[in-house]
Amino acid sequence: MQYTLRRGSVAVAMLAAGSLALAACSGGSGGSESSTGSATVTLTYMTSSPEATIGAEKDVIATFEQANPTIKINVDAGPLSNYDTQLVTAFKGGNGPDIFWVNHPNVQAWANAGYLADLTALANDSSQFQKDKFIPGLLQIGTVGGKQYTLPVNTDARVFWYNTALFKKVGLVDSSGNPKVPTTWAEMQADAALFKKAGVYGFAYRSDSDYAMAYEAVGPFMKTAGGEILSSDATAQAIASQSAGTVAAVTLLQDLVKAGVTPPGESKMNETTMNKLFASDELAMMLGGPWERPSLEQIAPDFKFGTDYGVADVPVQQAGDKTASTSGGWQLGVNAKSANPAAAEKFAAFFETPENLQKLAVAGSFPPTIDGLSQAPFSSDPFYIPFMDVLPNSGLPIPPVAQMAQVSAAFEKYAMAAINDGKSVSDQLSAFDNEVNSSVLGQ
Amino acid sequence: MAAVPAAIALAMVVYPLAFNIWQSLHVERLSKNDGQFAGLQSYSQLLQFGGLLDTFRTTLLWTVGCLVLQSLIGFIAAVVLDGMSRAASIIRALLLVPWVMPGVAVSAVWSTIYDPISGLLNSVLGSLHLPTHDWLGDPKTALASLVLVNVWKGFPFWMLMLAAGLKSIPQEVHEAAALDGAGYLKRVRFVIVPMLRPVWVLTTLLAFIWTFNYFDLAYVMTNGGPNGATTILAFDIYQSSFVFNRFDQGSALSVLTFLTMSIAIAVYFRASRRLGGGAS
Repeated sequence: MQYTLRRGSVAVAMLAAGSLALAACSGGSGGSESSTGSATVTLTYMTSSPEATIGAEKDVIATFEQANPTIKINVDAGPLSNYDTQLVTAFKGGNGPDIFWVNHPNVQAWANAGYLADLTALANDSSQFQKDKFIPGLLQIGTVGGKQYTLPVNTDARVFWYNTALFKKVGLVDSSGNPKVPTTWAEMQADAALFKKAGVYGFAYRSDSDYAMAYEAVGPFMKTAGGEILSSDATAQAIASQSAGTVAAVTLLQDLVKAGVTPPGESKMNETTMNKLFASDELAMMLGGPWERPSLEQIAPDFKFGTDYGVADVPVQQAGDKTASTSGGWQLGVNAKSANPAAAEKFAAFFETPENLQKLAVAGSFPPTIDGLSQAPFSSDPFYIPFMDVLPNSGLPIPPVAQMAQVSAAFEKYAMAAINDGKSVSDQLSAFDNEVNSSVLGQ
Repeated sequence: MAAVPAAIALAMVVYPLAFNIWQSLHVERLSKNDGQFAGLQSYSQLLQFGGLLDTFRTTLLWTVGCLVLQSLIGFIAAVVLDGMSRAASIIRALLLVPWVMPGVAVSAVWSTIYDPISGLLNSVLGSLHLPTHDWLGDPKTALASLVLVNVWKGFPFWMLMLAAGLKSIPQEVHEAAALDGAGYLKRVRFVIVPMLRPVWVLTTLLAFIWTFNYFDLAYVMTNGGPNGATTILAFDIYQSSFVFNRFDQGSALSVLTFLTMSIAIAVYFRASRRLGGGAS
């Protein structure tokens, strides 16, 4: 027995020693270079794109590899649900991919933590990066402390979606028989009441994530009314309760819920449920981004844009106000600890050409360039007209701060308490301001 | 030769614990100040701003609610099946199914049952002309709804443990009680329950440790909401660390959880020694 135990213990010790040695050797990002410097360099590229849309990225990568035969790129696609967790865990261990997509709320925190390489030189080199072609606000998102840490990959916006059949059913049509879409909040509320009488849901909003209130539900209406959640100056203080536009937008949604025009389950309404209700003619109006179209095509292939549903500008608070919306988007970063920073930056520069970004943006987002939507395929598709209307007045609902996740989660909590539970809007937004200013931004 | 198991224990238990404690005493929030000593700042921030007491209260409500109902239903199932012969083994195997299902699968199934628009529960209530409800969306009913799911999942464990305890009660005790004129309910109350006490206590302590740390349901079904109504400690640790990048606060919560569990484990070992020595 003692002999067997001793032998078993030695085996375990050898296994442990072996795995420790392997762990020591595997630190750092992918890449291998021989002592001659001319062998193939292998980079790891990580994206959150689903399988359906990753094809365009792989085409860009294949083109780059053809032009750069000594650089090979392995693609790693992480599911969106735990993409950030996967990356942060890798970075904290000193590893992680060489080039990767960065969700814009993470830029500040990841730059502060030293995970992102400084791309200022690349961004200022006009031979590699055409800075003047990009939407300035998107470049600003990738800037921290005056340095460029990420480069824009895409952007998006939310517009107003309406069910054509339901509008015709309740008689909300113009003289040509086309749906008479609401242009103001008051019109939207009146229309929602008509849909309720007809036995369908008038309006639904997403509430399935910590970002839903800020980006999908309250945010677009808040933007049309000039509202703010954090002040956009250097102090970045929470001012939701003092911002008339924000109070009005939260009150609008609260009134819709009180009027009984929204479906049940609004405490955790996800995109799939909303789209299913929309496509089955049970929901008349909602807000959504360009990604709803492929989602609807999957849920109901016969439910078509133009005939069965349409998109329009986000209704405004008062007639004559400018339409607006929330926008976000992804950025591209390079690992500050990449074993092959030169090769990684070379690929990033290639990836970030307006032509490549135009190809990538087709499936559910927009190119981050000033003239992106005025080019094919967007310019010839009437689906994108409202997006072109709202984009010039769109922006992040929360200015970039390192604690964006906490601020967003706090806004979700207090806004939903007002909207879903009927609590006082001003009390909830005041509580939000107080919590964020004292315990989130102040730490 | 004790050195190898000690080394493994050191690597897999002591080091992670020590690192957690270290991280809770330093700034670790993806900031430029990461690594700076912060003392008990994370703990005081949790108390002051983090809703720590609310989270502890929710966790205790969750744990006690689950244990009481699981033990009651598990006991009834064990007693009923004890009186059956052939059918008992088949029924017992079927009743074990919820317990062996992964927590995520259970969460997915019950999320569809609770769905306020198309879920089975509201469909049944509607067909009986009873009021329907957004069970997971109402802060007043969300935690109770999760407790119900965990009771469904966890009572088979109690059934198994108590059934084993029932088998250890000598038949002569039952016969003596019957001879003394004790009916079935009196035998349950004065014979079975007292003699099951050692099993009950040990199962309670084990189940307390598991339930206190249970994460799956709160994460999948409610994401800690609505309005924090189902934010239990395990979920709070996840949210602080991986959603808010507040690794320092997440570690502080982990240390507090570890201290609570240490007390529970110490009570368990003490009870098992005392009851193991005293059980007849």
